[in-house]
Amino acid sequence: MNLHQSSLAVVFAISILSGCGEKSSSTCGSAFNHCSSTTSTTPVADSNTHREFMTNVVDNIILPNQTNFVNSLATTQQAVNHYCDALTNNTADIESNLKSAQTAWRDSMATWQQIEAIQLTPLLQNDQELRNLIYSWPTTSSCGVDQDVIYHKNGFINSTPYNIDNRSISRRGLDALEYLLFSTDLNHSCSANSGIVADWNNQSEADKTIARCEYAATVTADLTTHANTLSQHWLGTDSVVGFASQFKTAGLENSPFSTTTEAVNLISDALFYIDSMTKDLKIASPLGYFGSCGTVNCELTVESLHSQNSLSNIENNLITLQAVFLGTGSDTASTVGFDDLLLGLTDQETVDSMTANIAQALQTTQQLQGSLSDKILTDNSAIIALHADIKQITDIMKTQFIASLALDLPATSAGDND
Amino acid sequence: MQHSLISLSILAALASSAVFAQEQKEDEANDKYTDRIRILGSSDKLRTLGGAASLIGELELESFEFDDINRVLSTVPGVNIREEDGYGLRPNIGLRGSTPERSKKITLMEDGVLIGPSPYSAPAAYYFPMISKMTAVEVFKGPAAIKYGPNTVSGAINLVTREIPEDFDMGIDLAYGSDNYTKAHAFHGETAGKWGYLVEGLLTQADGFKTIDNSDADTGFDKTDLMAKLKYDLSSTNTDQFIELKVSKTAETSNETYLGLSDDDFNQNPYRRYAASQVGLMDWDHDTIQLTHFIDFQSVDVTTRVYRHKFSRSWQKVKGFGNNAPSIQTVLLDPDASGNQDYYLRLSGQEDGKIVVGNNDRRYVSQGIQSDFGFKFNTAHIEHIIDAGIRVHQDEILRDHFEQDFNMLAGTMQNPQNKIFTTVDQEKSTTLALYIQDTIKLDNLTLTTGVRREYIKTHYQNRSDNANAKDDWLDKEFSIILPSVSAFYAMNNDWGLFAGVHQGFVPSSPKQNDVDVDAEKSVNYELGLRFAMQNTSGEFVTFFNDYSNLKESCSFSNASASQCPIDTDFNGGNVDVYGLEANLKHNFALTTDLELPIVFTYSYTHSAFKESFNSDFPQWGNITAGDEVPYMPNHQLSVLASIVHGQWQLNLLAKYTGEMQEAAGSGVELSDKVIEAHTTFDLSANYSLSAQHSLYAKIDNLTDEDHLVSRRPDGARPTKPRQGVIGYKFRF
Repeated sequence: MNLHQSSLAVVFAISILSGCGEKSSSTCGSAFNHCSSTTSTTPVADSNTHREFMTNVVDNIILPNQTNFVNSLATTQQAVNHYCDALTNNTADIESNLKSAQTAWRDSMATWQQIEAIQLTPLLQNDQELRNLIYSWPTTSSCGVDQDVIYHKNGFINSTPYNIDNRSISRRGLDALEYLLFSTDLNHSCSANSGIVADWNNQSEADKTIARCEYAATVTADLTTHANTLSQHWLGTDSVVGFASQFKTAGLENSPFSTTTEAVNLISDALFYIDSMTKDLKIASPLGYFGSCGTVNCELTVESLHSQNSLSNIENNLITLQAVFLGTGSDTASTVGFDDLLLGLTDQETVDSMTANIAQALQTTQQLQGSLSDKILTDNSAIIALHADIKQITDIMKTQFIASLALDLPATSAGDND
Repeated sequence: MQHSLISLSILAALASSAVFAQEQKEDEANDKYTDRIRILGSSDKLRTLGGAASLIGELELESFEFDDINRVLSTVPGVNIREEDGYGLRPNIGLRGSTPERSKKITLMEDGVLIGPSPYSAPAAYYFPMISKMTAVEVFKGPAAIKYGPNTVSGAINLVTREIPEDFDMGIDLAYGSDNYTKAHAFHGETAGKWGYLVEGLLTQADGFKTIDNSDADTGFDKTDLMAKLKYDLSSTNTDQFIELKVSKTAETSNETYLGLSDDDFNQNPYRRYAASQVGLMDWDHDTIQLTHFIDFQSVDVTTRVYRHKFSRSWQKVKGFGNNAPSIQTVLLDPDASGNQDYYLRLSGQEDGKIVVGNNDRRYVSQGIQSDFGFKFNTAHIEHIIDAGIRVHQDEILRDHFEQDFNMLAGTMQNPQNKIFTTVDQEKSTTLALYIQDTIKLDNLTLTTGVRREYIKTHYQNRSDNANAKDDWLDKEFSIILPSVSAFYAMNNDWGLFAGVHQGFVPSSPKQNDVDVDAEKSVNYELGLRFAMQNTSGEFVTFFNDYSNLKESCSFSNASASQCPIDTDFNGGNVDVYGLEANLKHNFALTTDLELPIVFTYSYTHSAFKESFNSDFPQWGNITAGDEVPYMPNHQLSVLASIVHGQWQLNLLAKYTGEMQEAAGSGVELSDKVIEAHTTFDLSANYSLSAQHSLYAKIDNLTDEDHLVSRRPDGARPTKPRQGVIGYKFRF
């Protein structure tokens, strides 16, 4: 290779290498998370309308639900205590006291399911720490609860004094309380008769019932503590601004939300509970559409299996969705909801379809009698219809609803489990 | 006997004789070929190239017979390491402050070819070649990294396998040690006429130094490596030319886990493993086939390699407790805290319950063709030495991760059920890399300029059964120009100054949407002094890496399971890393046949995030400007002292590693946790019974230090305890 050729080769190579600087491009499928970040040109409702909406949602729906929850837990505590007293004294009204405690639990659960369907920062922060302390479903463990009944009765765990504050979420909360109040099998539910539960089944029925009730009382007290904590997060203290105030002043100085849209998007994200939890986990999974059960005994994966309260839970989830969409809460004079934001953007069609579909799903749920697990076995088509009704809602939410309001989908709802 | 190592110098001496003119020609060709498979090459480039470089040759590797790359790199300045399993099975190596996680920021090569499982698509080095069979380890930091992308932020490590010997050669190495450590290593090769061959086999195993609650199972490993090379000489009158085939098959099974201990349990017995780790099992196989063609036209030499690596691994290990439960790290950091108590009892087998076990089943392919060219020409009375190369490369990873629920029953893990696939996807990269580097000499100044271009086309596809999986895909194209300039100025025959600057780069993963996360980029500067005299040599380098964006990605090893989405990248923004590296060698001649060589190695590294931000990356958290990057000790010092006699040799290696942070900022699980400073000593000795037979003995961790080396992935873990090994070697 002579000099001339060599020089040309080097020049050619460098020119290829330096032909262009840094470049990048990408294309993605519709289900890829955050596929595109296009700038929306959709008109957005003004900040004042947003704030009216948030104020109504907070003052008229969220805070009243929290008050109801604290009150219903007080009733539950009282009922459980009476039940325990009756068991301890072996009085004749044991059964009626148990019924009262169960009714009180159902009332608490009804209120909770309305709160659960719109989880915002105080419940979500730290990986849903507070939410899980109150209600951890689908993370539940009847064996774990059985173990803690015994630890609680003994007063110690491996020589450390028993303290429910140190116990995991699957042994506390409304789900544990449900098992304690509704399960009729007094034997432990662990798969092996070893460890702390080894001697449990040999104890008398009375001893076992009392031990469960006493643990139920402790669980209820623990629940009350966390319900009060939730209220405190929202209302704040003398030194800490509550989340309610932060939320209602979105877009203003000193609020953690730089825009009102950011806060509205949080509410929108929260409503997708109806998609991932109500539709998928509470209905589709027991129907065997997906999940780990395969095709056998999927009905046993329903929520609130022991109390057969699943349909009531679904109904209360839908009630919250309807309330937030229409803006209807405890104060009937104030009704600014998502429907008003959509109407402000002249999207009558989305308002009509959402309103009708939510009403339809509620009606279908209310018409179902009995338990969800039984219905799946005996009237499967009715549950399939309920699933279809809710899917009608979530399909709109993922498309017209989000698009009209120029909101983002929550990351977990970008795909679809249908 | 180290034929292959000393052959170059012997042959160089012989080259002065006309009688050996033909041999000289062949040797020059060999040197050129060696230059292509080694970063540092065989000549004196170590002294005149810009860029701090370290070569650990066969003699040094044999002095301690380390199986652990972490220990091998003790005498290399600027290396930061996070230990994990004590044996170095899956090393975490960083250079000049690059984050060490699974060595993914360095360009890792074997014989000059990318050897990571999937260097572009999934660079975490879950496969690392067996160091015991290598004849050299080269570490290069600085501008020459431009020749060895894709990762150029910190540097490159090149592992060199045994070359086919010119003459009959054979070696056997048998060793036995603590914890039933066993090594059997043998090779044989020769060149006859135009054909040459080499076969080599290596087996190592150990029972491990930990004990598992309620189990008699060992905690060690079995590794095998078989390699064969076949070479045919195609040389003619005017050209030196050969073709070489290399095939190798490597496998490992190890009872390894990500589950460590709580600090309290670690302090009581660092070598304990919780009952839940009974299920830990890593099982991998690696296959390599590589065809090399080398031709030297005297003025131009061309080395072309076609390669294909296949790697499959399945790692079963405890992942957690299911949805809505605290992470294992959370539980172990405070086992008595609210909500953690019963999970801790479950992990340790004191209480029954569900434990989720993940199996990260992955298959990798890495293949390509690369040609490296070298030629010289003169223009305006200036000699130009050109190195250029082109590589077309493709790699992919197929993930089939699944989880199962195990029951902890009466202290043992039983009854796996509810198998659910969690991550089922494919990431694939097709790349074209080009580089050209021109070195000119202007009197005492050697000036090297280079440029690299990377063109990367990637594809991500969700492969799960989910109805929308087919629409869950991402295609990306990316190209970047990476320049470098370096200079070496020879003050005299013994002393020289060097300096350089180059662009650092690490590509993002095919799964990462680049709208949210930028590629990692930096501008790296270095200034050094190098000298080499008869008995003393040394290198002092200051460096400054100015990251415009430090990037990290989520993996199961750097974050407790489920703390971040796997393979998601995170921006760290502007980060400065600077430091000093020093390496000083001196050989004291005690008597006529007794020498005392000493090597001092010191590294100072300081890093600082330049911006305050909150990150979801579990090793960062809430960063305040000025926070240091984790797992980067400010000070590291090692001293290697040997007494060398004609028949025997005694070596002592002391290494001090300064305190390291486990997390950079506040608000994450290991915030404010540190790995305390520690010092370890390794001792080795060998004795030649005859020219062919020798014995050796060594003690790793002489003082039996049991310090904590990391709380990641999930809990505290110790360094390897004192390990004694005795061995016998035969060399023909």
